[in-house]
Amino acid sequence: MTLKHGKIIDLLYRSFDGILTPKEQTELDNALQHPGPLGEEKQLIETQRKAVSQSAAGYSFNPFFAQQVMNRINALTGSQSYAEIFVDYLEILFKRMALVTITLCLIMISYNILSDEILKIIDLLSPSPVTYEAMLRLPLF
Amino acid sequence: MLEAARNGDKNAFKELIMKYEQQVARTVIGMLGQGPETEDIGQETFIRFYRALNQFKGDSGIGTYITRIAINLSLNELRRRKLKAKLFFQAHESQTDDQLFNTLPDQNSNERSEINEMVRKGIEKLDLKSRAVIVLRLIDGYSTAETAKILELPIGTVLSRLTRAQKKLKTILQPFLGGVS
Repeated sequence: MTLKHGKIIDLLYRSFDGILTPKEQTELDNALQHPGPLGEEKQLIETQRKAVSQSAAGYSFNPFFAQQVMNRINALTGSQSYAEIFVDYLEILFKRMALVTITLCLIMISYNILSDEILKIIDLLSPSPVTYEAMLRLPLF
Repeated sequence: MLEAARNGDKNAFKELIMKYEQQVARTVIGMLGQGPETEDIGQETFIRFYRALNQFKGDSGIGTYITRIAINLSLNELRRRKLKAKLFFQAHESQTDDQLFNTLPDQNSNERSEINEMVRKGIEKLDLKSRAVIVLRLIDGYSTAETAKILELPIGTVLSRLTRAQKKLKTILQPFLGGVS
């Protein structure tokens, strides 16, 4: 890589983030007019910047984040009694349990619709009944 | 909302949290990656903001002010991790590119999440200063001037760190981004 090429590459990077002087802009524009590695480099930088910015699309805290911060602030400032903190904690716990239960119900309803076998909550929670005959057939060791 | 929060209205402060939590999440997770500490750092960011409500003069935007707290806490956490890694002889910082590529998920998995994962690992390989400018400029979308203000650096320094960081990212990500538009 020549010194001039290195300078042009730096100008190319800077053109995305800073304002180039008119002289630098002209220099870069002239270099970009010729098809070649510089154009490919520009495309790669654009792709990379897009990939980095898109990588954060799913970044978020848990749904109860704001309430949790408020609980901590209230505990720190002493403006909330332990009973109130406990009630808030129960509320969050209940919401989480409700979310899990709803998800389970939806899965079960979908399963029941899509398959011939009928799935009941009671079947999932209780062990299968063991008959006296079946117990007699069990090996001792 | 800010005035109400200053006057002790807790609901107003909660609304402020809800307004800026996504932004803080991007900054903190961008800096630290997904992990158990990120929620703690996020919460601590807002607690510090709450404590500083009366000192906040409003010469910068609320978002910028909160981001500055989040960045400083994230940098502290990264320094703590680095120290801990040194103490326990963990080679986290010296992970080679080869090791990084060996962790590439199989090609049948979702291409976008695969790229996101590589980008995240690439960012983790940057030094702290470069990581901060990349997160603020490219992930949070702050302008170069705002990034400089948050990090309390001259614009020229931010520009040179951005160039250096992107060049390093390029060496890591080029094999994966070559075919992606």
